[in-house]
Amino acid sequence: MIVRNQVWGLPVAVEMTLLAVASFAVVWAYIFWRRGDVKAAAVGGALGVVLPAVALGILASELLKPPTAGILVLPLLNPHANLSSWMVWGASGISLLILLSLLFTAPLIKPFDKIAVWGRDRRVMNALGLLMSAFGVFVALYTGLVLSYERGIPFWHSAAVPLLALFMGVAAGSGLYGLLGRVETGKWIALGSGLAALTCLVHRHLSLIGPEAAAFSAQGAMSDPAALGGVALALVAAAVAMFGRKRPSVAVAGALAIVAVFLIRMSLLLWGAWDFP
Amino acid sequence: MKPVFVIDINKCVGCRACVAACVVEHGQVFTAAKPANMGKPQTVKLRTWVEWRESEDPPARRFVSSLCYHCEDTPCQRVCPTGATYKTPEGVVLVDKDLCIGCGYCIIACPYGSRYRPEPHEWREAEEKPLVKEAEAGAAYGGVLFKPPVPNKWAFRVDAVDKCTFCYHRYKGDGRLWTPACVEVCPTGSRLFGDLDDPSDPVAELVRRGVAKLARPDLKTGGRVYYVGGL
Repeated sequence: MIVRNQVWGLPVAVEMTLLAVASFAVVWAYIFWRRGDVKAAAVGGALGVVLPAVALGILASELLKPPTAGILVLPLLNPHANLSSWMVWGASGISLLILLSLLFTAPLIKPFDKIAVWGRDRRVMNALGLLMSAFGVFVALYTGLVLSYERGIPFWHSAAVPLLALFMGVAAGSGLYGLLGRVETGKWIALGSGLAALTCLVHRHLSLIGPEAAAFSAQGAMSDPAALGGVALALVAAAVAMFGRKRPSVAVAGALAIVAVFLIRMSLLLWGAWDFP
Repeated sequence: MKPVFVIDINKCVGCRACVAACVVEHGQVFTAAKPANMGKPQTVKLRTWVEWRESEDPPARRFVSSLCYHCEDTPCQRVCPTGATYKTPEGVVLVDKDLCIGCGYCIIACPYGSRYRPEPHEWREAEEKPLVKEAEAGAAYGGVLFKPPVPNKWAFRVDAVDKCTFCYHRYKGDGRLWTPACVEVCPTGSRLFGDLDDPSDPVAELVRRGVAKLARPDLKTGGRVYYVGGL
């Protein structure tokens, strides 16, 4: 008996999209800081604090025991934490991303630069930026690994899912800077969106020849206007970003990439299905 | 002791006495009793449930009842971030209701659909109304929430994921097999409970002889629930 997932729905799709945007926004923040563009770096760094914090907030609101939401902050330190659960590693990664982004961004913002004295040492900032970027990439991967690790839902139990999550992170994070008018992110929007669309199509095709529940999910996702729209928008974003090098084109491509990431994530979640005995 | 559950599909008549016994035993919210749900099938997942499958040639209806499979290799335990899901020395998989935060990851990981989260409307209903032992008038109350007659730490709670416990609270810790509520009330003997470690146990013998089989051996999770008669 095939049953569609209703446990993780829209709030989780929003949460994971926010994490995707933040994941590579912080990578760009570090790149811009290296180039001396402090203002652009501060934007990405601040988003590395705000978006994952909002994502954790959404996750907490979905719990049956909201007062215990504190467990989502660095759960690795909790004595009850189950280290074989990806959620523990993921929530710890998100917490560290928030912390590192805060440490990286504080010295870049005017009123705080006098307090955040570590910002005066370039080696410290370099280390913080590198770590922040590494955790950004990890968070992007985590949003796929958390789905793909177990076999319960065959549509998710695929190596393509973490890859898809990574490419969606590249598309969404770069898309955000594209939206802010940074034309140098254009080719990364194109690359991320293009690879996300390709991986999504390959994943759906492979699922069609997989277990019955995976085939059901893939068929559903292929006939769902929102899911098809996600792939189509990702391809349009890739094309616009690749051929339109000017600021408005890159901004449009960035916006399309973020919407595409949300729709692809949504279809992935909502078309997940079990095959119960 | 290794408790094992055998369900004889050929004997099940779909009366759902097992479901009712489980609901009363563990105090679950039974929203099928809501006026809006009159005449509809069960609307929420419970610890145990009965579905039917029909075939046309020859015309037949078979009832398939399910519960937690108490896997040997437990995906739910592996993904649980707080360690709320654990296994007893007898191999019964349980949820520590205090530790469970209700993230739902175990429900996602379970390939058998054996776990469920109380739905938000049930949560509200349960908060607005204290636990009641008797069903109130359907119009005044959204669902019927039963108070478990024997309080136990694995009973239904609105703030934690719920699943079958094999009625582990009935185990006295003396190494002797107990009887789950659903097995006790089954009028046809479709539900059987035995001990795999007992060489003279007739229920365990069904498993040993291969008469009773796992529902999904392809998933390689193992388990303590076997079926007589194909699914």
